[in-house]
Amino acid sequence: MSREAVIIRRNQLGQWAGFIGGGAALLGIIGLLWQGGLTPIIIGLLVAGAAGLGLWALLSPQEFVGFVTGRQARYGTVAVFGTLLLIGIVALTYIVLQRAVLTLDMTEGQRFTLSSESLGILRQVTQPIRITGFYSPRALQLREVDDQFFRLYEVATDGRITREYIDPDVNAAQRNAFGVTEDGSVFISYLNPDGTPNLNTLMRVPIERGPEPSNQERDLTGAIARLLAAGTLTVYFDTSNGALSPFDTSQQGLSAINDGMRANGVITSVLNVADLAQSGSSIPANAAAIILARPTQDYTEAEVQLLGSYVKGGGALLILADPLFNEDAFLRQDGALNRFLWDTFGIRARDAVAVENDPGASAQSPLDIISAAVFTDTDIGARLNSDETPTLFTVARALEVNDSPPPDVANGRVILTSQNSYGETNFRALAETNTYQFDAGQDIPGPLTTVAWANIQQTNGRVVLIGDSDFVTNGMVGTGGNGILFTDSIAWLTRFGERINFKPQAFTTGLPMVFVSTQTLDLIAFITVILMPGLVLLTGLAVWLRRQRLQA
Amino acid sequence: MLRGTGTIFWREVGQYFASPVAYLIAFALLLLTGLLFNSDLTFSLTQKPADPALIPSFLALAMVFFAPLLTMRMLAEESREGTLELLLTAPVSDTAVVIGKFLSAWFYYTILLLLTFTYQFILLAITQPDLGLAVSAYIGIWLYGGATLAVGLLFSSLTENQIVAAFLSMSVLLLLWLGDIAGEIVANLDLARVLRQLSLGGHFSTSFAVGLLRAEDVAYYAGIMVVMLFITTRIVESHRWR
Repeated sequence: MSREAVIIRRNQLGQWAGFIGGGAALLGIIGLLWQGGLTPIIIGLLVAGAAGLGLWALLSPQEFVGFVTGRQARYGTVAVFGTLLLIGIVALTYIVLQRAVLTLDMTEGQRFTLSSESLGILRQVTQPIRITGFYSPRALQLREVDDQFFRLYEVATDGRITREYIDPDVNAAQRNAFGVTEDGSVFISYLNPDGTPNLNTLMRVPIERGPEPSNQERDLTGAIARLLAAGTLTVYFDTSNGALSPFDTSQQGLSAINDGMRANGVITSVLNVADLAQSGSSIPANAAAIILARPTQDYTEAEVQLLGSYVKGGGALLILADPLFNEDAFLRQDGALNRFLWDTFGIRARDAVAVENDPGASAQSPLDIISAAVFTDTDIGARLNSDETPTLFTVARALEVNDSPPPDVANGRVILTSQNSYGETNFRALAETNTYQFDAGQDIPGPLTTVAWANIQQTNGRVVLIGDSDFVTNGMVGTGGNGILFTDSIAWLTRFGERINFKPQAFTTGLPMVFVSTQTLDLIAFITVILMPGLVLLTGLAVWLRRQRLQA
Repeated sequence: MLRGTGTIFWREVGQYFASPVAYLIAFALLLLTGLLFNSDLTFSLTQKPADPALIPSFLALAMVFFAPLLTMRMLAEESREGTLELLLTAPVSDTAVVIGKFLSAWFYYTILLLLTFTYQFILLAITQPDLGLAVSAYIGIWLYGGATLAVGLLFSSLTENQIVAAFLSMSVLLLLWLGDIAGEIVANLDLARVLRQLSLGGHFSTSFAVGLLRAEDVAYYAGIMVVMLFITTRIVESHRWR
């Protein structure tokens, strides 16, 4: 076996030095442009580049001079500079067009165009608002999709709404300050004088992410509307007579609905009707609504008078009344408050517990009442659906609605039990032995009303009476349509819904589903998988045969 | 120059339709899109509205592999067989040669796209698709295809070997396509954004493919085509002074 000596010539060494030096210099220049300054690596690359090129010039001076001054260098330089110039022009054009936000929404439902309702709400924006999105690099595509919408808001408000994106992986302090829980979280807030987001006005934009496409316009405009309305509404919880606490975080507490209202810009507070009545004070003037969340004791005449003058003057009451088995129970049928509701609004609670005998309208027990029918003639029931978002009440109280309400009053039902239900009036048997049986002539035949509303038309005083309170407790509010019933009741009572209500662009624009028979599917498969490709293949075969024949 | 471009264009178009390879490419593309269309249609039944952007979105990936096959021959073969020198002595400019060849590839690709309109006609017959979205997606994929073909032509001009040209352009197109999902590969958000701005898919998937026509995306694809064709022309031109 013979060995051949590897001879490296001076010229070759020079060429390699030049090649490596040129590469290092190029990387160094790119790094310099990228970083905008010198770093040890960039300095190293530039030095290596200069050394390599110098070595080339030293070891192979003729080739180096020829490269720099020859015809190739002249043409090559012109070509490189011409290309760089063209890339610069293209990049500049791209940047100018990007900043100009020139877009054409081609979708039939005009999905990327803000609806007139959205624009109407945006016209109310007078203070700077910031959209802050938290997207990690992994959510870059999500960010690009969301940004298509966010920049529409920036343009529509002439820059009063701005957008900012933060990488939650890098900026942990901001992530914690905003309470970011997931990638792609979006918030809106007013700005401090120094241009930073005012965290006191922070509001999460509940963009629903899931298998279905998001509806960013609906979610973002809704959040902006809530931000605009924020701080203008105060809802009070009455803490007298043993009512449930809005600060109780246990399963039986109401902290979730309290936090939920605050997160949506509603100011919540507490008052004590008993103390106010005793001291001769009146209900605070800023009370948009008062929630009576299952007091255990009934209200006195003085307390009812206080609440009565408030609601008759245009106030709003949300009354949550469970069946209670104690003496002097809240809203007992002959009590002062129940009489006031009947006389003034034509609605009242009955001393009867709803028992549901229809298996489809009850959960684990006949005392768990699932909404069997929903009236959608007010905003309270508009979003409720017995099939998809049924409400679940546990031991609910039957209500009564007078179909001939007092003059100037409108009232109605929101939720009914099924035909097979009835109102058990024997509280004692129910409380002591947990037994119930329909007694004709004594019990109330179904369907029963479990949610009712009333409205004094002249003053716009409003009442929503619900025969259950468990549905809004922390343990139950997330079940079915329970949260919706509460939210929409408050929205209707405070007229908050009217202020933030808008019709968003529907994503699917009502496009129909695909319905075709199996035969049609087979025909389509034949045309698209066999016929079309087959025809093309046959044509190709014919071309090939023709060529073969010609060549022969 | 127009006359020269026209001459080269028709010569290349003639070669396309006389070559069985072009039909094989069309066959493969139609078979794949046909299978995809049927699979989505079956899945959509009573579940969701039909997606008219499905086929254009698939073509965005498919063109990474098909564009090099359409362009690999164009200049590499001329260079290998020595006919490029002959062509350069003909009374047509270098620019006309490059543009003529590019336009012929784009024309062939347009015919392929037109064949896939069959799927839209089928959708129209059985349901009510979002036609605006379909038009937007097709405009986007037409421009996207033009850009991929321009990249392919550039690599065809760089080498005499068709396979090398195809492999190089596939690699570069794959990198440009992957830029759309740069965020899942690169941890640095700014770098991921820059890569996405440079990517072919990033200017299609969140705009044309969802029914939004943005001037910047049109400028991007047009810019890629112009720059690639300019560089290709310079490379062809370099045969005169190398």
